[in-house]
Amino acid sequence: MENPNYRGAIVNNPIFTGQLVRLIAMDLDEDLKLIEEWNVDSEYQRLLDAGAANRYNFKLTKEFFEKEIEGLHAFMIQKLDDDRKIGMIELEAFNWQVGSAWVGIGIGVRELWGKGYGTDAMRIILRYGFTNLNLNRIQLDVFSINQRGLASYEKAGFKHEGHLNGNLLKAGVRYDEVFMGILRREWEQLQTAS
Amino acid sequence: MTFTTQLFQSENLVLEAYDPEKDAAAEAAFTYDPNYAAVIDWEGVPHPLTVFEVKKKREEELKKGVEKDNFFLFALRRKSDSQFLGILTLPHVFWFNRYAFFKVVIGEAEMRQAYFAEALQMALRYGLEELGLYSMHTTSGEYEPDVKQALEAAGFRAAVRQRENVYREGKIWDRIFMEILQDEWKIQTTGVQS
Repeated sequence: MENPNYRGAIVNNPIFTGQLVRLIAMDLDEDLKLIEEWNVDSEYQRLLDAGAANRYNFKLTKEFFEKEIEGLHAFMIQKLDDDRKIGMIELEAFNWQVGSAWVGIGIGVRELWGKGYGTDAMRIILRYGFTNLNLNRIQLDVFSINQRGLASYEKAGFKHEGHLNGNLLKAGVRYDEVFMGILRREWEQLQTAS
Repeated sequence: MTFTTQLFQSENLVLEAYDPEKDAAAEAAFTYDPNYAAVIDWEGVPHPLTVFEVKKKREEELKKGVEKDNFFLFALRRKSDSQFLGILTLPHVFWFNRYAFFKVVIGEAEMRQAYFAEALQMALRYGLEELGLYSMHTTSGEYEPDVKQALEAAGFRAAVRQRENVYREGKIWDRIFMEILQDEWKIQTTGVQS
């Protein structure tokens, strides 16, 4: 559990704080229960990745995170106004030769979709990746059915880099897997423009 | 009515079960080429690997493949003298979406020139006819013009261009996802649209 005596070090951290949310390290006791709740919403899972939506055994999920946590660069997304944890964001598959990484994001609380929390979390992780990890590019993939996600990533500065045709198949309908990326110089231009 | 297509033999090549005891030493030698090393150590920094590492990695993959049923690895050999040339791998078939990423890699330049196109046809026949995939994709780029041209000649389209995502020979290159659909392959091989 988060120690209240050290709370200032987390909540006042400029690197991980945005306009609406902050990014905080995972608490494996508390947060896996939240993720389990979010996963009840199969639409959340279907938008999140290409795997089949599923229900996961809590004990096995915990064992997975305990084993893999050192290799994960995952954060919980916490609202600034009421400290509620509403989603997750993660950098993964770093390529240190070129300085690139993939980013994945999910807002688990459905009623908070489309309110700018995801875009704000993305802006924080871009700033962190480019100014603290010395990355040159950050990339993601998103399904064409996820118009809310696409709009949010465009707003954060991602550019379309192409798509794989019909890679997601749900209820007999195929949706494209869209690839987007942002380079550091593009991100820097956005900072001077705003 | 019978099945007349031979999946594991073509004019000059055969696809065989990968044998770590026999094939790891050849693959370790091929990893002096970073484009080959990158296909064994997907997320690491490409570097020449020891025979021990290749053998261990391949044994683990083959074991996992048997358990998961979504991983395929073949040794590519020359028919005339059984010489090991390289591999065909589909490291993760998404059965529910019916697509897969795959790689054909041939270790030596002159062998690649002689047999890459033929090996590619075997990969397509296996993935699109036997596994029944809707689409297959692989990665390439201007840093390996011979491979990219062979993919284009086989009917692949450049579907995604991840800008500045590969580093080779002191230069940064785009990573290009090359894609082909089963329908496109059918038109090409039979002239008939399904």
